[in-house]
Amino acid sequence: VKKRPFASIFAFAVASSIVGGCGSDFTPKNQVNGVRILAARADQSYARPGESVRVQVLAHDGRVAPSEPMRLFWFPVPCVNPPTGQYYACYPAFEALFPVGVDLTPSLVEGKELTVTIPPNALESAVVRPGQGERYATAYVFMVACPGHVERVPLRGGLAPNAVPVGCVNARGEQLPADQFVFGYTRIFVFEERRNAIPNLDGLTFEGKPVDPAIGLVTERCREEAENDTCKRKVKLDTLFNDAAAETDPDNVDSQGKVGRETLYVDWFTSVGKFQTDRKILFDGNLGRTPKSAIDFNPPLGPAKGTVWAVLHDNRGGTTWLEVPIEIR
Amino acid sequence: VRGKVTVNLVLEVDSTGAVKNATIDKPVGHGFDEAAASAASSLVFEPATRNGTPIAAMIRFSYTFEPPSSRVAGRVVRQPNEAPIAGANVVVREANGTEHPVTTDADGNFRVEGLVPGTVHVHVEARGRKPEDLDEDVGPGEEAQVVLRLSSAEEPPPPPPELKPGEVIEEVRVRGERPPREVTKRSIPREEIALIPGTNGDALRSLQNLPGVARPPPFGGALVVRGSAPQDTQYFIDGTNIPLVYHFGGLSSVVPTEVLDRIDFYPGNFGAQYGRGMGGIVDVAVRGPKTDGKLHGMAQVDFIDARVLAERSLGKGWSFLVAGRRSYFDLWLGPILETAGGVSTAPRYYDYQVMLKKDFGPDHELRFFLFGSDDRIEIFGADFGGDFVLGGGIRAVTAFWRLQARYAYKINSKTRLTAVAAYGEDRLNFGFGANYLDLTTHPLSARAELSHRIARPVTANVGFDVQNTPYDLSVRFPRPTRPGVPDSGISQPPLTQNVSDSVYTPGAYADLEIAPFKGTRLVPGIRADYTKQIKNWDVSPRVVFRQDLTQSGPRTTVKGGVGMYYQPPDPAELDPVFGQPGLKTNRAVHYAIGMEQEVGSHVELSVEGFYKSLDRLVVQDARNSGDGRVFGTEWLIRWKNDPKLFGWLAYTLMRSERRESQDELLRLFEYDQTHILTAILSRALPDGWRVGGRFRLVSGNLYTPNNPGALDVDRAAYMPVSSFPLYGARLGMFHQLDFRIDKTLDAKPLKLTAYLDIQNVYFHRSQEGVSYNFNYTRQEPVLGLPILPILGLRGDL
Repeated sequence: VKKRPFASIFAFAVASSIVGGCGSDFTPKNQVNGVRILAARADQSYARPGESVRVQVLAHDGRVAPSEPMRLFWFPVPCVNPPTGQYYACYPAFEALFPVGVDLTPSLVEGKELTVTIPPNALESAVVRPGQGERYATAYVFMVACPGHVERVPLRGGLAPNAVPVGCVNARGEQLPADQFVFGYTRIFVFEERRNAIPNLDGLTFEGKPVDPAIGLVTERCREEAENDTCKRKVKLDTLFNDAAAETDPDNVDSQGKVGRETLYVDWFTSVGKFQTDRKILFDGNLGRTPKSAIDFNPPLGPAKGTVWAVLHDNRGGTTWLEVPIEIR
Repeated sequence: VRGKVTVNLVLEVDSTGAVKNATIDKPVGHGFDEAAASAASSLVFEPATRNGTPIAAMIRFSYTFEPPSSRVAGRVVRQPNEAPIAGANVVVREANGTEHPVTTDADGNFRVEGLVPGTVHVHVEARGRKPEDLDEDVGPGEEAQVVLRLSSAEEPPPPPPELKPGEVIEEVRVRGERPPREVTKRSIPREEIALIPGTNGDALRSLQNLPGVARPPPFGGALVVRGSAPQDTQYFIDGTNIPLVYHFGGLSSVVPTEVLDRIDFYPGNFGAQYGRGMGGIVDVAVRGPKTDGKLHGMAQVDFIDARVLAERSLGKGWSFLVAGRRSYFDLWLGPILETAGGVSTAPRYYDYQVMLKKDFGPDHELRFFLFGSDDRIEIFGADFGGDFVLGGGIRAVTAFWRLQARYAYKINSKTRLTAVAAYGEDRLNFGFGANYLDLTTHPLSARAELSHRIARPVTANVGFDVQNTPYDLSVRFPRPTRPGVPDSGISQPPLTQNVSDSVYTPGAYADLEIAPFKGTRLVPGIRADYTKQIKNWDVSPRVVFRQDLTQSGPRTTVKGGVGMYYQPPDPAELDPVFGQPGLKTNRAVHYAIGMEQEVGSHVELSVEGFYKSLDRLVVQDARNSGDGRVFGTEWLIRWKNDPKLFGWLAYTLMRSERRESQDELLRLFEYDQTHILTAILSRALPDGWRVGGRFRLVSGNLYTPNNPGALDVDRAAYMPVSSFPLYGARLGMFHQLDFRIDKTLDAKPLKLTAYLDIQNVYFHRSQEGVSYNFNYTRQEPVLGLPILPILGLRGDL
């Protein structure tokens, strides 16, 4: 055995001291291996009073051999302009409507989409705050992804007022832990006139080449992992979009008075392997396209088949997505 | 005017003997002429007569003013045990050469009265003791109280075995400082600072071992003093405010130990000379260059940085000092991190000091001091480019420099003037991706204090301190939420804001140091501060007292104080976009009471209880609605005056509470640490070895547990549900043992020292925080450093 010089050992100890505090064993957000809601989109992210809005949800059940399938539920009526404007200010209304311990499923709408009608008087209760040029309202739409049925749970003491008011109960009557169901919300902004178009996502690229959505991605499995369970091999994915997807944003005015555009960013998800980060900026509202928008994907060790999702957002609530199959060979 | 004054007058006396007119024959000024004329006007004479008839007459008249005589009272004692010496011969000589010989009584006391005011010289001799001399300035009607300590006339005892042949014990005279103007002023001698284990010999890091100072978060470069927020404590270098004291991460302080004279640390109830802060004060006094005509130098290297220093006198009272330091762990740590985590990092810091000093005479000096610091860290990730948050990497630059001119002049034995002016630049640049904050300020500050002894028991201190800080702020940050946009935090489109303005804060103060009785000291003071940005005046009355309960032997002192303190809002809190308008200053009232007890010549015990009442605290979006309180007790047992051994045991029991509005219950403030125990011991061994250890046992930091919450689908972010009350949970107890060993080789004129400073010797990784996964369903502890050994070499010339 070759002896290590003292200096090397010492340097190693110091370096370990500093590096040792880094890192985490958590599964990254982009790795979908449970019940997940990945996105929601409204056909009008800026709606008008009295208008009907169709909301869709992108959800996925990444569990292996689940005992009960994931179900998607919607609270049928939007919560418009809650006091303080916070989503959890809608919870007292739930408590008034739904008793604790009762299956709420008959009262909810099940499915991947919901059409809601914005109340004609939505703007009447809107408060124009100082410095706010235009009256607007916020309509919250609540949804649940649950492998079972939904019940309202009693309020727990010692928690902030945004504690989740509902639970998911399986067929055996057991309330599932928080990591096995999702309670979420999306917003629809209500303006008298203003509109916000849904940004268009034209396609994906894989290692610089366009991806055929019907065929999807095919890549080699990982053959060598680095220290932190990350495959040393990585491949690049990117999005295809037109600059016009970023609309002019009249509120994005810089200090010189120049009106900018929307900011576009993409959230990546996958059911096999993992991405090195969760989100990439594509278009800066003042600076334009981001030069390095591609994301690194680390394939898993073994062969697998799954799905990759790219969810494109503009910063004003406009959302769209693409999903493509992926095969690891 | 110290002697007799005679005014010659010509008086017109009428026939009744009354003085009708008094004319000054030869003016002497200073108000004596008027006083003599006024006094003479009221005189009544036996009238002159001519042929038996009273007549008017003019006469010459002299009026003599005699100043009240002065007195000297003193005591002659043995050194070092302070036993009185009876029968000692004392000679008090006036400035005109008149001598007054006396002999001390059985208690060693003597007293001479009827002295001409002015400088008197006291000479004392006693059998078997070395004679001692003393000059004392004594005013008209005043009494000077002196203590003369006579050392043995015998030769010093033979050197102890560990001394090398030829070396002798050097006897030095130590001049004691006058009692502080504050309830508590803690100072650590420079010699001890460099040897405290776990601090790598860093001066300002040693402050973290004193009572009332909480353990800072790891890599947190701030002091948490008596439960205050870090930004509530201010830092000065010889009276000039500086923006930071630690290089990033708290690795070392921005002024190296080698140029320090002392650090004055006031955990609370500080005097009227300090304002605009409601926590503590750290005032670092920088030493002057050595003036023995020789060139002196120092060089030191360890794994973190390298530093050099050179100094010498230049003749005619001029002397200089140059020092500098640069870290170089970017050279070896960067490649390691890059290999380990795909992240390259380039952290580095440097600081520099240049001093030029002119001594005009004793207690009369002018000093120019240029000092500065520059920290820079940039982190680039292999895949960070294009990332929404980290695109372009993370970078942080904090830098400052000051050019300081300081003038100190002891005009006479009663009056002292100190003035400091400084100009400089502070730069803070923080950026991530395309977002940044770039703040550049050019602070101009001035501070002056005139200290005058009005009478023997009363000294008045009057001063001002003014700061004018023009700043340029350039910021590109996600803008606050606006209509029709989800509150998506960092993904909000940024707002570019360029602002130029200035912060102008003049202040003035006055206090009186009153010693009405022996051992009693009362310091009432008042301070007024103006904050231009909010157009607000604050007046802060303060008072402290100290009372010695013993006249001789081990000292017992009780002390206490109460005072009001104001702190302006941060400029960022007043920003029209990111802050809020209509803010007032934060306010605190400090109360303290305690005692100090000497036990023999080596041990001192200090106990202090404190209470801080806080109100008008700035709260985000709620103006000055916050309030709170801090209370606790501090204990310090210290071994001192021993060149071979130093150490202390410090313990703080404390509770810090705050709330954001009156309708909430008080909750623990995030910087609260209930128990803070620090034990330090350092012992010199033969042959130039010294070993020391530091042990700390501290309550864990507070944190707010998060629970799983709803998914904000628009942001793809789970909203954590905080457990109430906020900061209601505490991490596990922190404990750590540090060890230091020094070996010094004295090869005159060079002294070489090698040291090994090991932090966390027994490898205990304390929990420093909690991290959560993306949906808050899993958590894991964030652990501190396991062990950090630092090996260094140092050479002193």
